[in-house]
Amino acid sequence: MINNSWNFEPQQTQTKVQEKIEKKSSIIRPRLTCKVNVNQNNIVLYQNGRSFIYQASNQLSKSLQRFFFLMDGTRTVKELQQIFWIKNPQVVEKIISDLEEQELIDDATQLEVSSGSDILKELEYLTQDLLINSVDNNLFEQSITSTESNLPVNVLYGFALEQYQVVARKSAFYSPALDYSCTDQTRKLIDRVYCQETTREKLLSEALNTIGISVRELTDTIPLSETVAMCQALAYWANSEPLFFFYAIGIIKQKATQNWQAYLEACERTKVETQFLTSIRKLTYLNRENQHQSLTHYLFQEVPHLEEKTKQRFRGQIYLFVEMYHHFHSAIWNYYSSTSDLLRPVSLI
Amino acid sequence: MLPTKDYKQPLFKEQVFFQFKETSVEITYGTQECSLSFEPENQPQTIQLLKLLQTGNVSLQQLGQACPEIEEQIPELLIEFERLGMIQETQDQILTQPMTGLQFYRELRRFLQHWQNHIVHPLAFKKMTEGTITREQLVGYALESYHVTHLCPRLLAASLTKQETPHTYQLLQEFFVSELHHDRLIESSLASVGIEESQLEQMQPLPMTFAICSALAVFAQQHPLSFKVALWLFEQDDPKFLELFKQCCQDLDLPREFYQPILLHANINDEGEHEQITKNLLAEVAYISAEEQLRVKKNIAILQESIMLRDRQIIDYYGNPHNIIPRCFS
Repeated sequence: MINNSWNFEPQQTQTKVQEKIEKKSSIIRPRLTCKVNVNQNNIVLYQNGRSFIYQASNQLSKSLQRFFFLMDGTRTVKELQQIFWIKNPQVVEKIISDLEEQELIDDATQLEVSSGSDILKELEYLTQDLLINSVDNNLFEQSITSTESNLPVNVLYGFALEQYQVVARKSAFYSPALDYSCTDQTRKLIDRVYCQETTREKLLSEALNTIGISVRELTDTIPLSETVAMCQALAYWANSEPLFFFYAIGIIKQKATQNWQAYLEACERTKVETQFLTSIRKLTYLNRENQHQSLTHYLFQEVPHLEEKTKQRFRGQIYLFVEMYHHFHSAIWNYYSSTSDLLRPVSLI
Repeated sequence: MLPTKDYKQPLFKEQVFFQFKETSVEITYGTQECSLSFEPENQPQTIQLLKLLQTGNVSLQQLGQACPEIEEQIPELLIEFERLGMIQETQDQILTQPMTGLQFYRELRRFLQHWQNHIVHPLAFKKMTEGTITREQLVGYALESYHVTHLCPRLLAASLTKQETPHTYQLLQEFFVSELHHDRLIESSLASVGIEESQLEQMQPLPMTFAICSALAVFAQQHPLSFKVALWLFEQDDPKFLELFKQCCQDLDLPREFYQPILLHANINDEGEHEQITKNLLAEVAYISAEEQLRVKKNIAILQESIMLRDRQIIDYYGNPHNIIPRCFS
């Protein structure tokens, strides 16, 4: 049997109390996890064959007994400080810290749970808001939706080229995240989404071939930096924070459903190559079967709790990602509306 | 008569030399020589043709359009150049040979010099020289540097998990250690202009700052050769830029505590010969295939362009009084 004893007199333990304050206990609602017996002025705490003795004067002993009795997890440290030793709250901290050191105390604070589903609603609201605002300033998105604009055909081809560059990098950003899944159902859904990307790559490559861009030229050409910026960001998050990666992919897919329809209509209005148009039609139909929105919901449903700090970080990153997505589209307009060269071949540098 | 090979975009090989004279041009390629004579009135167009063939990427039709007066002679000339083995197809340049890491390092230096001519140029330097840079833009520069130094360990860390030669591993490990805690310097710089720790924790980088950081992290994880080359671009500090930076900070009454840590950080990189890291790492690479060269060149060209675009984003974002500074959203 281990037998420890504390000679408990607040005045005498002042220096020790000071030391303890430096490593302040993190317990908010203390709950004693031992039996308490009183033997004259000594209070004996028992736990699994160990005993600890508090020695105190008669009056103090009574206060301590009551103090231990009230330490049942229903009151906070602050409340206990107000009931006992209001003028010297460090005493409460000292006792709690001693008890914690001997593992005689638990924290009964209820975990405040913010489920993934709850947080997803908030994040989606923010995303929606940001996307609506960014479209207003985006020349590319405006140009494909406007029936009046005189859209340069290179912008339409450039969009397909940059989309190809994104999808050709799919393994770089999907591979670290393919393993992220809690259930069999979501794992299969992730696989399906990935396979869909493979089909998109094939269709985009076919579309570009119809306008005379060969597979070899596609390998040789340098994409726009803003396109790669978005892909690298996705790959970074896929490695470091897969849940956010899937959220960001969800944003792309959500926008794709709207943008590809507008893009198809713009291709039909502007005189693009007939065969190119056929491939774009197939791609637009494929994008309509968007399975990703449900994937984001399933993944967030599986998260029982997301910390406030994580939520705040996600919010900040959503601002950043929407900015990157906006730049991805703006760069397509800026570059392809003012060039006659669709490609930037490495071999010519 | 047509050239034996149907050239799409003919190009003179690297070691073909010209000596221009009044009515002729002497062409040398290794031990072979030929002389091309022309009428004095055709001199400008003949020179134009040869120059276009040195640049490449121009079709036969375009060559004819650029040199209409000698158009008819072009096929004949090409046959002769081909017979002497002096020309190749522009696209064939892609089919480069495998090479050692050190040779690739030399190639890359030239490649990046050429690439500089294709991309946007830094704005900050120009604005500092003109004296039109603002206080917010200088602070913005420090804020964005903070992200790079703060994220640095996690950008580099994955490079230590790859199988490498013992010497490479040692170089990478030493480099990792030498980059630790640089964010503290920038933290103290930012504290002097009232940026608080809680803000540092919350703020988001500019898209292009995040792009270059994530590129490095992804290369470290997924393409070690690109990672080794990318370090080079991260470690280039221009002493003229830093001198100007200090001057502009003083002109705009930014405290010494603001610019001194930034200069000190650049000094640490300089003294540690961090610029040499890529050369030292590539010296350890015995073989780089043509496909790998292409992949690295693309990655590095984009990184270089992104660094320039980042400079522009700093000027644009921090120069706009309507934007949130520091970038703490929500």
